[in-house]
Amino acid sequence: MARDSYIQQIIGAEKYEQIKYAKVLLVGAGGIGCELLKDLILMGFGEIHIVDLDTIDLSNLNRQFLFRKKDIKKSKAFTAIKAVNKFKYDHTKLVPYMASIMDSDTFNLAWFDQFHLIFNALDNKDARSFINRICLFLKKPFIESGTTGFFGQVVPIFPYESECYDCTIKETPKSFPVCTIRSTPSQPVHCIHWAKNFLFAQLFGEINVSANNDVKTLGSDNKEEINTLINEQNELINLRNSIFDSNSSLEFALNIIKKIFIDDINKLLKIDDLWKTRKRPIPLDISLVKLLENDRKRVLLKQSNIDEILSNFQKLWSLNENLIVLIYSLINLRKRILNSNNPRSFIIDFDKDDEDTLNFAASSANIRSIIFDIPVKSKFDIKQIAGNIIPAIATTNAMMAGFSALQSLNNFNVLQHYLESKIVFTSIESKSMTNPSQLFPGSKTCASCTVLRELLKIKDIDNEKLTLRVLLKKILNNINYKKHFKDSTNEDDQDNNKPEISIVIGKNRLIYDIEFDDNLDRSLKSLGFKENQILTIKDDDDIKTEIELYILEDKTLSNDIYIPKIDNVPEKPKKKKPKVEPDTNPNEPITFDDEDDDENKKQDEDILEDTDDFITILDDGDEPDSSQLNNTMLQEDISAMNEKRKIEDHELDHQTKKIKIDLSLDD
Amino acid sequence: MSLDQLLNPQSSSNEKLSNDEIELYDRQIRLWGMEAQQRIRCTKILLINLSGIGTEIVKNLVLSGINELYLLDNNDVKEEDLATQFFLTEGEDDLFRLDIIGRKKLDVALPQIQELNPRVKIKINTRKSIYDFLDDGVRNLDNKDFFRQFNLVISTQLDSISNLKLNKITRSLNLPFYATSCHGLFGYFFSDLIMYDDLSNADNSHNNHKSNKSNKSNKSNKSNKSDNTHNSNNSNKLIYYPFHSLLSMNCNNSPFKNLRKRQLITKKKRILISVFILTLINYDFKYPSINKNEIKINEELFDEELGKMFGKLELFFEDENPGQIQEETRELLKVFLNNINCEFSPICAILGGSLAQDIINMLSFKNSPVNNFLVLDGLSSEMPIYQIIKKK
Repeated sequence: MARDSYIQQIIGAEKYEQIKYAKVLLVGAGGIGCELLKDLILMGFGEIHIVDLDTIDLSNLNRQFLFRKKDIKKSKAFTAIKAVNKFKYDHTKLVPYMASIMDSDTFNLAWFDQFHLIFNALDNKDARSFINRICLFLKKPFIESGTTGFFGQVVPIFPYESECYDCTIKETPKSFPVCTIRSTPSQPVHCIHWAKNFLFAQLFGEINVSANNDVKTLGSDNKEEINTLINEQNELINLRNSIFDSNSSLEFALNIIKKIFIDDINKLLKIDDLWKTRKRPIPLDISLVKLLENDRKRVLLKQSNIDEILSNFQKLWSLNENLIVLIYSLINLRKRILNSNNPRSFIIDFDKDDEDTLNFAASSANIRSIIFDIPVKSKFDIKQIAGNIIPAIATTNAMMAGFSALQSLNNFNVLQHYLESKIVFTSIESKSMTNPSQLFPGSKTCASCTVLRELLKIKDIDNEKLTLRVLLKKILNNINYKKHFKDSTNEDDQDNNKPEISIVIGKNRLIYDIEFDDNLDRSLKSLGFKENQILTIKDDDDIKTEIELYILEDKTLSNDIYIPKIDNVPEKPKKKKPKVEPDTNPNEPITFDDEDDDENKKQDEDILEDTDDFITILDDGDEPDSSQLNNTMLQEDISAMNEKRKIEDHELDHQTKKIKIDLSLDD
Repeated sequence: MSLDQLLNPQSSSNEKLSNDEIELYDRQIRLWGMEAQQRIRCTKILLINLSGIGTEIVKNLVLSGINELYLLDNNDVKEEDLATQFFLTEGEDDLFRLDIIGRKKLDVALPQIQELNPRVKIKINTRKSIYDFLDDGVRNLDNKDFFRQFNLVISTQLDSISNLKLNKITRSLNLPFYATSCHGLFGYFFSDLIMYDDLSNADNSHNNHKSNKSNKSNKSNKSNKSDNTHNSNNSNKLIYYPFHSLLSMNCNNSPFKNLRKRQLITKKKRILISVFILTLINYDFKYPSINKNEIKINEELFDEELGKMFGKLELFFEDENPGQIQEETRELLKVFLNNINCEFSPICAILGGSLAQDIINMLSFKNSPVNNFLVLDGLSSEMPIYQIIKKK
């Protein structure tokens, strides 16, 4: 029998032909991605493009079966393709990319449009939402999948027909008030958060003086406490400079320890109000510091002693051991800065796989825990909390990838008379391993799938004569808001024809609203218009739905600008309390998401022993998206932006806020 | 080491995991813990027939870091094996592929499997087939010694008579036994852990037959469970029944016994696939000489068996009765028969994933293992679990 005779028999020769000529996109070559790639290849798909930005890590090898030890640090997408080449069909074409799927210069709308179907095998919400949006633009079906430990889900999404990715509310990670972290910790996770996001960031991260000194963000009414915290922070900036001023690395390390664990604690102790209902912290015993100071012969700080401690990463280290590890990591981190090309501006980011940074966070968190009489944790456990590591196993990934591959058959009308698309969840019921359910219709209040999406074609974006005024005229001509304004006011038609809209380009750059017309005579090019960007048109009265226009250049246009006619913009759905996930089974933990990604407390209670500590830490140190934003923003516009500030309310802004959260996630 | 010893929480003979191992297995140790990983590392498994599901099971178990995998399969590589068995490859690209047709499967697969995880001992046997071990069973002392070196036995795509004989051997040696087969969009696995001391958290369980009140509402079930847990000090003895139960089914030991008429109608499709699978297992036992590829030709014979099965289980859907199968059922049956003996990669992945996970569940006490029959219906993505008990 031929190699493909089974599949021909199962799905029929005709349908198999469709699969053989199908071109699909697989986003992600990680846990689910490797498994799914194998399944799609064995099913004989014609052309598979696979995109992954990541490189291979040792901890991937327990499940990402296409990778070997020798592949560590290589591109996931390219290595996966090389591995499956050995067993692919001759007719299958494979195209790997080592890139971010959200890079619109590499992957524009037309590029996405070439695929019959898109498979998501991602590990973060941000990219998932992005694919969701692209597929909404293209009305292209995609299959979403994710796992967390023993649990998994596969959700086929047919844009505007079934629930989209954003229709269901995704649980956001828990965050802590700053004062809990900075002055009154009560759990190990508070100390870990402090060590990683505050202390480490202050000493070695990007210098960010103003952000954390905003009194409002401290979340405390106690003036004394606020002043103490602000002073403490200013002193830390001086400590940072001591990286360069200190005579020796040991001196530097001990100064930090004295300041953080003795002086700062003593200052906190002076604020009596804080300790009325709490146990008072006990500052580090100065004699311990002295002991280390006098350790000239390096008995305690002997490399073999340090190695011995570090090799026991599952053990709960003693105070002394934590101090030794902290000193060791501080010495190493200082060396890295001094040995860099530009020490004054060199920064180090916390990375759970960077031993120095992890040792620093683990030991300083533990010392703080001891001071506040909180249980200490092993470095192994702290790595999980600080690095937001989600357990991931081969079997769940294999199963979910299998269901994703199986569900894809529906998109080729294979067996449709029997098999309609299903959402598949793993089940913890006793009588079933899965809990399949029908697809749900999209949420009427979903901010993503109720938006009107169209193309905005421009003949020549570089044409300086194309001003915002020209575009605005075209928009007002073609997009009809009339009805709403007639209904809502009694004024004469002239005014009614001037709807109050605002226009936003890209993520959240406001370029026009009724009170902000400074840009009208500027060319589109100078306002930052380029291909593959999205223009959002909003009704300032917030009654009509938003319109998103995807910008494309089309040299064949007869006019300068093409905007489709929209006769009557529908009203925005009334905001109700958003629905929380499909109600498939009340016993089922449903809101989980991703493989190495965000977590859901409900499930974690099932999975982890130390549930209370398994909380995503809101990573306020990292905001690449807003920095990206700044880069694309023209300097001269910033003042206008500040003046307007309308942007703050912009819905897209919420997305940037969300992004914050995803950055702290693993893999 | 016997499995009992292996599972005994007091047994501390296990060597500690090295730091390298902890790093490699990090993401799974965080799920099932160090002790479970140590037990996995001590486990020696015999897998009979590589097959499509076999390939998936091998991949999952070798990745998980078991001690030893012994593969028994003396078949040669056939072209259709390449539909699912991705270890059957050589060299860097497809140019080499045709050279492997006709060679011993395990000879070709061994280097590919070993590469997945160099820490796991992979042994192959291409000289003997499982049939060489079955006829005189453990009366043959060599056979006894052979099976006794493992902690667990898995058979894939094996006929019913052989599974029956094999299960007798594993029972006599107190070895857990899994049997699994895939038929196109459908498949199943059967498990016999004989007697299993379930230390997993009952609330997180795939199996609450231990409370023996399977038809209660969720609420009362929960309270039952907690009562049960409380009474028995977090440990539940799970009783398993041998492969033979699948063949001696009747109304009294039917897994559908407690379904009410309304449920019978609403769950008909889901039940039908399970009944087809059970019928196939019985058919295979009764007519071992008929090649499975010929079942389609002998459809009448299968019909007859199916009718008998409906009768034995007292399953009367609406006015369906033996010998008169309804049109809707017939259509589904046609699809089913068309899938027999085919291997399909997503189904192998799902079934191989759930079987391997079940073994890890058994070793880790994180979830209760399946007791004792799981069906996969690729049409509906349902995976119902039944307990099939012995005929009274």
